[in-house]
Amino acid sequence: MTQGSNDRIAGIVGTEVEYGLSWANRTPEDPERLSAELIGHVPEACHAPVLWDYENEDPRHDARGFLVEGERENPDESDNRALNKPLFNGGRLYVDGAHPEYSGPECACVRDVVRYEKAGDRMVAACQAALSGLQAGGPPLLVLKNNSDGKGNSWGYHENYLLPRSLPFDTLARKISTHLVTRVLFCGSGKLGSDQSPSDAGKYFLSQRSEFFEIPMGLSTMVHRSVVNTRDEPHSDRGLYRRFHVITGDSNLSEISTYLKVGTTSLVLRALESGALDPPVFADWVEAFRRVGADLSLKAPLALENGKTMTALECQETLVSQVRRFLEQEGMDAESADLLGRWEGILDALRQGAPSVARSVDWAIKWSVLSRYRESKGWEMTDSRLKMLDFQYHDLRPERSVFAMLENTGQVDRLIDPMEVEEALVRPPSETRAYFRGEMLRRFLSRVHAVSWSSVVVDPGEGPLKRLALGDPWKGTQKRVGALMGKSGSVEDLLKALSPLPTGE
Amino acid sequence: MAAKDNETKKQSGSASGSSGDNQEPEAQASARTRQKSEEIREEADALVDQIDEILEENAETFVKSFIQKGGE
Repeated sequence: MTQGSNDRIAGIVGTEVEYGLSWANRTPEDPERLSAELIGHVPEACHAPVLWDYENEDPRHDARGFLVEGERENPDESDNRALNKPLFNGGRLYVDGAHPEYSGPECACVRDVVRYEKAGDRMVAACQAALSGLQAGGPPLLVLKNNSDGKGNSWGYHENYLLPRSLPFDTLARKISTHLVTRVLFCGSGKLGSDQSPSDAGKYFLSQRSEFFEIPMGLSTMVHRSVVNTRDEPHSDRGLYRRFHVITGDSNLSEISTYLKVGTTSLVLRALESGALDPPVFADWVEAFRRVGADLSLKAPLALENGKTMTALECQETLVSQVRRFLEQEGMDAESADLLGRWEGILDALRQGAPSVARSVDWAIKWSVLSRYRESKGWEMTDSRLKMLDFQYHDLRPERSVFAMLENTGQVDRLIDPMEVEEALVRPPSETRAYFRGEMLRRFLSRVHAVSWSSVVVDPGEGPLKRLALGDPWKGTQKRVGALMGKSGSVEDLLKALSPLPTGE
Repeated sequence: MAAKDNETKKQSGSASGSSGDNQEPEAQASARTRQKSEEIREEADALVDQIDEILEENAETFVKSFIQKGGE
């Protein structure tokens, strides 16, 4: 197990969200510049104006044991500041190529993942509002939390799960593939119209992303996307851990979909790690993913390696029963019990076509709204006003967002109290190293030079800068360092007291 | 709702004459179905109004021109 002294079953998880951008009803000419301009409006209360420490970043490692060619990123100081906004909550708002991106802090429970992701959406919405305000009366700026433009371009939503290095990667890849393909049933965001096949312009898809996947396993996230991504950049002790980087997911608006997406995947990984998972495996992972993502009937037969077929729902039922058996043997914390119950509940509801699905699962919420609206208007499914409705479901502007309207009028289910999101805007979670990173920024901002996932670089007052390594994501928690940080009146006190913590250097 | 149900019962009773008690649940059920479909229609109308209020007017231009560079 990767939990160390912590008894959370979920493990350590963080998510990354890229947002779509439109300016003046057209594609921005320089999306990188517009993204930088947008994140430049991050609220002061959220942003710690220090550098991002690129020293430990290297995304070229492949989990299958080789290093690919490519340049490591290392922008100069002015670009570093423009492209990176380290956050007091332990996360990072930044520019990733043509998109603004928010990476939430590492969390040790799934509710926190949902909470911190919502906080990111709110920060980006604040940026949108501030930048639009400056251009009052000017062209509209749209920021969408979705993953495709309907023209064959996709941008990402990535999940990161901390796993022990001792788990062989090929076992992991094979056994997780079935879940990554079939969990679309409760965490697809839905889209109207194919990105690749013009004849499917009026067809409704469960997944925003599945059409974009081409190979079973691979390193790239931008071309030749793979069902199992092999990026091996642990952002932690390489001897002990791997960071399993999942790129198949859609960005969700529904808190329930995010909770189930991340929560069920965490539970499946725990069972897999313990050798308690023996799922059916698809003959062709890519074909299966594309079929599930395009199958509104939920009944498509999917070919298995053993020559038989199963539907996505049947695969999920097998997975949930294996996970239940595992958890009943291992014991479960409150969150795992809640997740398991909701997981079984949503599969039942999907099987029965229960109306509750259209209050909790993104693709079903959107499909219900689109169908009712279209029926009332009598429009063709290919009418661009319906595609606009699809886009606006993901719109971050509170007054134009279809999802926000549904949420505010009680037409969708929630999980998180909005007040809990307020807190996540400015404070780190307490149960991972994000606590140390965030609290260093909150308490000793003027002495922090840079941060990254695995380091905090401080100015010790005398001599060269000191890089504190955060090699273990389970260390640097409130429990371990909270009292110590509280007692330290200065960075000097803290450095003395910390040695040899967090991991010593 | 209760008043409406009673009314339906009476009407159905007089129309069906002496055909007996087992007609009543059917009549009730059909009233309930009517009621339910009215509610659904009202909800759908409300939803349409809510969407009409927020949907951008330049949908065609936007949808055509929204082209992103891939990310990730």
